[in-house]
Formats: sequence, structure tokens, C-alpha cells
Amino acid sequence: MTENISETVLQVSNLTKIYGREIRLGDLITFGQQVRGTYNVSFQVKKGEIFGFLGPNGAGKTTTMRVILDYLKPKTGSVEIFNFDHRNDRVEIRKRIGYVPGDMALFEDFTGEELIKYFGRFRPIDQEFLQELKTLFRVKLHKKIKSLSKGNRQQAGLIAVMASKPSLLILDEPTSGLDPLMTANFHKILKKLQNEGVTIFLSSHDLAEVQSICDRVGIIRNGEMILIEAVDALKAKFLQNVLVQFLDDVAPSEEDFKQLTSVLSVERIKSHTYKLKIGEDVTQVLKFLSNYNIKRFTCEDADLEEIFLQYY
Amino acid sequence: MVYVYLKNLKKSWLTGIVPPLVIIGFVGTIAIGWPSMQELILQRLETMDNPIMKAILGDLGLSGLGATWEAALFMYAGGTMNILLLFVAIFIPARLLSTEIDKNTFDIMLSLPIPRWRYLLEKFSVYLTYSLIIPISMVGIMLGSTALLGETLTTSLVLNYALGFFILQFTLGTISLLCATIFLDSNKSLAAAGIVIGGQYFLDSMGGMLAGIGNFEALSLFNYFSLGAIQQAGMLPIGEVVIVVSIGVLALISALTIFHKREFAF
Repeated sequence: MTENISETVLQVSNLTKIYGREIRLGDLITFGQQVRGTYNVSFQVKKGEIFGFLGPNGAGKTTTMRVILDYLKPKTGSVEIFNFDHRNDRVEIRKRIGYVPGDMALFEDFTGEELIKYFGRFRPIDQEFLQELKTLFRVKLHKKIKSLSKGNRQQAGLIAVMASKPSLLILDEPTSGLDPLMTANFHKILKKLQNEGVTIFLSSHDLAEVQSICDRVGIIRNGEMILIEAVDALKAKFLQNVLVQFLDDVAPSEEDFKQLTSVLSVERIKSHTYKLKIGEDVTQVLKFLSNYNIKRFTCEDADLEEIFLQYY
Repeated sequence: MVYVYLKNLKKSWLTGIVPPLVIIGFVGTIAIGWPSMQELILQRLETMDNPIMKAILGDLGLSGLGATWEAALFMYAGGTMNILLLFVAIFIPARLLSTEIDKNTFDIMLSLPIPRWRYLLEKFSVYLTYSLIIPISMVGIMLGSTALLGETLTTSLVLNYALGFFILQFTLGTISLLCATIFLDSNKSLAAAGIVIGGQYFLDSMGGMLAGIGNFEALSLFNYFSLGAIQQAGMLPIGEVVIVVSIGVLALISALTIFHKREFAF
């Protein structure tokens, strides 16, 4: 992490986006239809942070990203990037950001090298970092984009966008199409950039990816931000998996466990062995278990996927 | 630097050189065939001077030129230029944005640090650059073939006609571009540009036949900078230049403003 962590790079406040128009004539006649994209979404991303943006398809992730980039106009709310207004200071903002859209399409008649050069005309390239990217990704940049596979195109695009070492990277499903080795290399690069103070806003379906590289995560559902939390705190706070094996026949029943408010679910694996998912209050469970003879007890944080599924 | 302009100039070279080649090929063919076709063409010219033929072939303004090489040249080359003007102005600017959108490269382009209005202006400048080659080629091949045949051609008439052609290309192009920025979608933009520009061509072509009903020709931009008007004024009529350029500038500013402010919900 960087030293100056407190500086806010991306500030999204009360963002509401409605698609379509609706005209009502009295109570009975309506023309058109409105669909809610996002509702009152607020969050901030600090300098040097990797912020994971999670949500199922249609939850409002892409809408939020497109509003941030000023492709879409919000009905209400504001977005500030590096203290610039996203509508009034587009060019200043774009000098500092790199955007990788989901399913990135590139100029097919360009070679990878030409693509990097072209992007470099708009944002100066960090030559040393470019060499590093080339070494890590190993894509054949002398070939035309149209002759590259989907994964290689994605790599060429990532190199072209990242070579200028932008201060804020906005990434929408950046590893789709990359093989596991390239994904791991990409994560290494993100961590390195983070250490140099680059801020990363990452939308992803890959929960393992978010868990392994993100500092904080925001979960969006039906257009509303339902949770923003540090990944570690989220795992610790929300869900722990407990496996408990009792020593003798005097073991509690499933119903006994369900009486405990902190037990979210209970599953009997063998006659004396239970698997519990427990919430924040571990003490309640420990006090309860102290009444019994226990042969084995393990407790671990649930992974992000389990937490994520709790919300859907 | 104008990187978007240079990129698109390189990318569109093939589309850009086809219309000038058509003109060069067409006038070149007439020039080669002129000695043997002279009689036939001259007869054709005499039958041309009636409203029905004008309606079919457009305004050729030949009355003052007589049955000469110059008249034949303007009849064939001028008619071809008008058809080219129609298709180039509809098909190229109307698809300037939709081609990027259809290929999904629009998202990444918009994320680069360049003002939107400038991005659009640079792309439109590519159209203007290639548009400029058409009248230049026309002037070159007309003057060249005339010299080779030992015929006569009024240079100022050719130059003014070419300049008028370019101004019309600019204005019709901005109207087509305006359609592109309003609709973004390829089919809708082409349809809108086709109706607006094609409609004007139709009005100009049919205007002569409907002269008794009303002055429909005046509603068409194709009616401006006619050969007859240039001959009469000895140059491009200033009033017409002001009208056509004003429409073009207005349409261009509207297109740039809409593009700069609109959202891209696709």
C-alpha cells in the first residue's frame, strides 16, 4: 500500500441512472417505459487502492462504469475523479485514466505495436514499464490485431492501455479470455502498480480474483450498492465456517444449533459432526459448545464467493 | 497533433480514391472516344435542351455552351459528379460513427484524452480531404484531356464548377454527419441522410418538370452552383455561396454540439 492512502481519487455520490422515458396522461395512459439502471449509488476509491466492484449480470455494474466515464448521463448525483467533474473536465480526467472495457475491441488493421504507439500519442508511454509488460504478457505484437486470438487481443489491449501507467485504471472484466498464467501475471502487474500509487477500480465476476487482489469490495444488486467493505473485514465479519465433532453421544441436535442467533445454517455431516456457518457473534457459539465434550473444532473465514451468495 | 485524422486518412484511402478514379476513368473514356463519338454526342446535346431530359440528367446548364467538347464534357462529367456527390455525401459521413460503434472500438476511443468535438471534426476532415480529391481530379482530367485533344475549355468555368462542387460536398456532408450524431445507428443514419439528401436531389431533378406548380428546385442544395449560374456570374454566385456555406457551418456546429453533449447508451 502507498503512504498517501487517504487521498480520494474517485468519488461517486448519489448516482441514479434511469433508462428510457415515460409520459403519463392521468393514471391510466402511459407512453414509454423507464428502467432503473442504478439508484443512489455512492462510494469512494482512495489513492493506491484496488477496489473490487461485484454484482450479478444486470445489477448495474456497467451502467455505473459508463456513468463514471461520462458515456451516460445520470439523472441525479455526481462523479469526481481526481477532484475533476466527470462531465466538465473529460479531457483532464482522461489524461490520467486507463479504461479497459469488457470484451475490448481494438483496431483490427493495426499491429499490436501500432496500437501501443497510437495510444501512446494520447498518453505518453513509460518505456521501461512497457518492456516489463511485453516480457510478462509475451503476445506477438508484430501481428495484426485481427490475426490474434481473443486472449492475445486482450493482452495487446491491456499493454496498450497500461503502458502509459495511468493514475487510475478502470477495468471491466479485464481477465476474460486470459489463461491462468497470464491472469496471474496480470495480477502481479496490478499489485506492482498499486505499490507505485496507482488506483484500480475493478469490475469482475471472478470472486477469487477480487479476493486475492482487492483491498475493498462494493457489491451492487438491482442497481443499489448494498455493501462496501474491506475484503478481509468482510470475510471475518460476515461468515465463518465451523466444523465441530463431538466426543460422545451427548451432542446437541440440529434444532439446538438453530436456536442460536449467530448460527446462519447448520448441516449434519456425520452422527456427531456438524458444519456450521456462523455470523459475527462467535462468542455465543463458543459458550454453547462449552457445555459439550468436543473432539475436533475448526474455524475458518468463508471465502468471498460464499459471502457473495449470501446476498443473492 | 491530429492523430485521429491521420489514422483514419490511412485507413480510408481505398474508399477515398474510388470516386476520383471514377471521374478520371469516365472523362478519360469520353476523351478517347471523342473523335469517333463527336457526331453522336453533339446530336445528343441538341436533344437535351428540354425539361424532361433535364429532369432525367439533372441541371446541366448547357444552353450557353452550344454543341461543343466543353458542353459534352460538362454534360457527362457534370452528371457523373452529381451522382457521386449524392452517394459520397450520404454514405460516408453518415457512417463515420456507426462503423466505430459496430466494431465496438468506440468505447476505447472515447476513453482517450481528446475532446469529443475534436474527434468528430478530425474524422469529418478525412471525408473533406478525400472530397477535395474529386474536384481536383476532375479539373486535372478535364484540362489534360482538352489539351491532348486540342479542344478549348474555359478554365475559370471548370475551376468555379469544381469549387462549387466542393462547397456542396462540405454542406451535404455536414447534413449527413448531423444525421450520424443524432441516430448513431448505421441503418437509421443512412436512412435519414438518404431521405434528406436524396430528397433534395429528387427535387432538383424533378423541379424542372414541376416548374408550373412551384419553384421546388430552390429547396434543393443541388440547385445551387449550376453551370448556368456560374456562366452568368462569371464566378460562383456570392449569394449562393453564403447560403450553402451557412447551412453547412450550422449543420456542422449542430453535429459537433450534439456529439459533445449526448450520451452513448448502446
